[in-house]
Amino acid sequence: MQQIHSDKNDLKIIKDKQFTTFYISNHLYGIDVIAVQEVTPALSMTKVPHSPNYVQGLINLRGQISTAISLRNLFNLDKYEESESMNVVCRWEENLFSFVVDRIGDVMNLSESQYEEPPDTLSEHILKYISGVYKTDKALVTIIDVNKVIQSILQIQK
Amino acid sequence: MSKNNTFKSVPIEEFISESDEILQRVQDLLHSIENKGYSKSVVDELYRNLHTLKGTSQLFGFTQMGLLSHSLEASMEPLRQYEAPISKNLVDVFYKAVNLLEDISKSLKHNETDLSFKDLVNELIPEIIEAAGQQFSANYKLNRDELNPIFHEKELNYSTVNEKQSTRLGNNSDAIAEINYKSKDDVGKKEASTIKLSMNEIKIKDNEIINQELIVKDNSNANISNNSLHDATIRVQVQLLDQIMNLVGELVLVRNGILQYKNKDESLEYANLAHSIDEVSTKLQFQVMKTRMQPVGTVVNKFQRLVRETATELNKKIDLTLIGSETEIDKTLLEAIKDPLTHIIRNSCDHGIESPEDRIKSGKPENGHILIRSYHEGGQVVIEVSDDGKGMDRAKILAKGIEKGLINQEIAGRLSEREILNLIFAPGFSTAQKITNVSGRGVGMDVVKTNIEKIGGTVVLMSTLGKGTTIKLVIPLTLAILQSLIVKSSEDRFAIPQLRLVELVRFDMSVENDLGKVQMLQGRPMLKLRGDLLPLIGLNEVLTNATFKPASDGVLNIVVVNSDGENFGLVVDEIMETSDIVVKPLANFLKNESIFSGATLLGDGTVSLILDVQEIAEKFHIKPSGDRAKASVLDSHLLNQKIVNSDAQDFFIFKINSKSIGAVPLCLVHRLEEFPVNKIEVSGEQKMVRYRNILMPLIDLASELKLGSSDLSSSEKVSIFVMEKSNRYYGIIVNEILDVLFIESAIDEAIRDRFGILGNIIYKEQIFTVIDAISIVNKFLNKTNQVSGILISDTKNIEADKAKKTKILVAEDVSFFRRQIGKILENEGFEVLMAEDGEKAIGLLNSDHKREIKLLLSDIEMPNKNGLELAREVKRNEKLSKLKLIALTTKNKEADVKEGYAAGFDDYLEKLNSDKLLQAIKKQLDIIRD
Repeated sequence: MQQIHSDKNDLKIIKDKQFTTFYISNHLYGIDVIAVQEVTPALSMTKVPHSPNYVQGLINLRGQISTAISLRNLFNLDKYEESESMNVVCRWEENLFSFVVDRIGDVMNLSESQYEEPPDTLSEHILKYISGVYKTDKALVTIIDVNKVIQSILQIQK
Repeated sequence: MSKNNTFKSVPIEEFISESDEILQRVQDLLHSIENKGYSKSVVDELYRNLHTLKGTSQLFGFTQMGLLSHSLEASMEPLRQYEAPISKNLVDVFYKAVNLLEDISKSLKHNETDLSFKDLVNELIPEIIEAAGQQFSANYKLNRDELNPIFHEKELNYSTVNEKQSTRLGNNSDAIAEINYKSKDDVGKKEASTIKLSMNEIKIKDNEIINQELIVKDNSNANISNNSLHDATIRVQVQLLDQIMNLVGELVLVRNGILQYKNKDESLEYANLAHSIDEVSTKLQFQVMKTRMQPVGTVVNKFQRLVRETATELNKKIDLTLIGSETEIDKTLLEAIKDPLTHIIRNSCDHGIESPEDRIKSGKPENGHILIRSYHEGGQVVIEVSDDGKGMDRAKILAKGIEKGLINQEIAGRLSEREILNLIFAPGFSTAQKITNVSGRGVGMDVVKTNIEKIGGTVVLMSTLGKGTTIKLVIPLTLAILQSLIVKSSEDRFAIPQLRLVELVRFDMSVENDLGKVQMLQGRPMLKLRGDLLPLIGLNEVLTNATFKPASDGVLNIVVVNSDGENFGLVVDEIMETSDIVVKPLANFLKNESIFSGATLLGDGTVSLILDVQEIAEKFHIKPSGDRAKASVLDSHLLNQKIVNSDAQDFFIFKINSKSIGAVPLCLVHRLEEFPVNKIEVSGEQKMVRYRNILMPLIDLASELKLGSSDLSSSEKVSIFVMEKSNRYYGIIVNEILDVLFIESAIDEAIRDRFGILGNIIYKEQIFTVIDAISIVNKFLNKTNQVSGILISDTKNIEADKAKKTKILVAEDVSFFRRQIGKILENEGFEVLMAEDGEKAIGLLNSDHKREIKLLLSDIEMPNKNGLELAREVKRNEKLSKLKLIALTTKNKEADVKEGYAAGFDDYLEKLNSDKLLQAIKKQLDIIRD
């Protein structure tokens, strides 16, 4: 639980946000919980020939077909051991997207006070998808703007 | 007015949609009267519809609509009693009124009242009265005064239903209120309709709106408001049906899963249950599909008006006939074809049907005719739009194609019938001389084609110049559930829609097959199946871009599919089962230009991709079988848009021996043949074979080229290509027949290390050795001549002495042909001068002061002055008047030939047919001598 600072900061508590966090290549990322429909373990994937490299395949999600996106490939990160895979499922209009991640972290409440602008050290590639960074005692959580990611994917093809 | 729009909206929406239906019916009825004349039942129905419209619009407070319908209704009154033909004037005014009513109805979607139309309505009503008055006074000799009662007697009687009264009717929301409409109607019967509404709706409608007490009673069996409880139909939101369809789809998937387990489970009871659920869900699926089905007529009937208006606009006379409009199709698909059909009809009216004068001139009936025929065929809905107009002018289309930069002159000459017509579907094409209001611009046939293909359908175009055009739309019955075939490529499974499926063929490559055989053509394996050539595409090839080479001893599982009317074979690793699958859309970005049209879940839950047969055909350039040879030309040019070296041509590709691959211009090849080795006979050392009742000598190419001799002992068959010279045949033995390819690159003469080789040619990174077949045959002839002195002597076409000293100038930019032609001529004893282009040719002619050059053999396509320009210049030059000109080229279309003769050529020949060439030369030279 956050420490309550002075009165001025009372308002900021209201602005606490909840994030689903997960690890890709040992880095911690987060997505606003509102955007996340569910989190599921790895499911068998059907590859789509001739699709962009960040499309890992298609997954059967209780009768709905979800497009699995590899954020690792989208962000151009180094290959890491993909021993455990989890899916973070988000919905955009009539499409379902599953972001394939290494492992899931906790759901975190993060407050404005911990918020910082994304550092310049992040590569161009990722920067356009990031909405900010939160500093906690233990780690740095990089927040991904899901809308930007999906729009970018859909637009690339247009 | 009411501030709360939401409460208002649902009943009003229903009113609007009912009114639209009524208005459509009114139009259909009008049309029927217009064409078939008076009919009491039609008139009655028309009256009833107008009556209902009047009543309901007034109930909802749409006064203008009410007044207008009232007016129309009134003018129909006398017709109900007296039969009479209806004047055009009245019909026109009626249509006008209907249009206005439709406009009002449309505006009511956004506006609360129709008062904005007051002026228009006030203008129109007198017109209606006038027209009706004329009609009836003309027919019945009623005077104006007698007519007036018709129009003024009916008055709306208003009284207010105030709060008190409504409460009097009861607070119970279920109470029905009778709303009465009084009519002071002396002429004709007393008409009235009862409109029942539930109490709630009345209250909701705001006191102000219901300031009319309308009491309407009906004597006749007229339809009460369509919303009534008596109808056997019920309105359902389309969205709800969509959801039901989805659920049924899910059910189908689960059923598939259950059926899968049925095979594993031994229990009889389980099997029975599985069977039952299968039956029930199949029936359910079928019924739900039917709920979404609507008759094509819903859209097609509306075209009567479109045609009528368009014809009037264009001053043409056009009749529209509809056949099979009861054919049913899924509602969403119907929506999707509405615009394309509209465009097609407009085109027919605008560009197809000629003006009445033109039609009479060509002996056609004055009235143009459009026919829309709808029917079911093979699980699809077919809608044909045919007109008896002027048809499509190929020449105009080609001209337009060139003008728009879609093709150039060269390609235009090579296009097939179908390809020419299909140019219409290319983006950026429009043959309108001027853009008329009617067909518009930018909406083009390419949009029509795209829209139809988007829903999984196809468009076929057929046309006869002068007679008419038919456009055929073929559309699947429904999109949601697809019958398909599941196939495997490596370990992955894919679905192929049954709609595209033609047949399944299992082909054993190793066995001698009567069924057919696999050959290469244009770099692609073809299966000769029952006389037709079927291109084969490997599914693996499609998925991974690996090249597909059928193993010579394997078994091919071929799924023959159809795309755009053309069949091709998809070769898969395994053919599995047929299955009803539910189509799930792919994310948009995966769908564009993808070979996958969607995805589905198989019985065991795996996601499987659905193959888009059309996309695959396009990717692999599958063209109509008659034009396969032309296919690569069109593609490469549409892609590159560059001017072709017109001397590029087909080459016959073969193996000389196990190592080298040879090429020979196809025009030199008479036929390709194969003989069993035991048919070869030997005379001395000369091999020969019986061919068409004569003995044909066989020339071993490999040994002629000193590349070892063909070892015939190990093979069972001998492959040869046959050359013809002076009506005799010579067979050249090759190691293996490979392919026929169209190659544009020039022959590289750098490496010619021995007799019989002209050079090398490159094709897609492969190098072929071009064989000098003519020389080889000539050498053979000379050898035999020398040996026998008598036997196979070639009767020279032209006597040696005559030929001596006759100079012939050859103008040709491709050195290969220059050399070939030169050889042929020199063989006959001519003296040959060479020029690489028109300029040089002129130069040589000008410096020939003794006029020794008697004949000019010229190519057409040359740089620095082409053949035509050369010919014209020669003809202009008096000093060269005696010079004979022969054109020698690959451009042989009628238009080209005509052009050649017009430019001044005395003869026009195809390249490299030596006999014809020599004959033509002889003819020209003899003319000189004589």
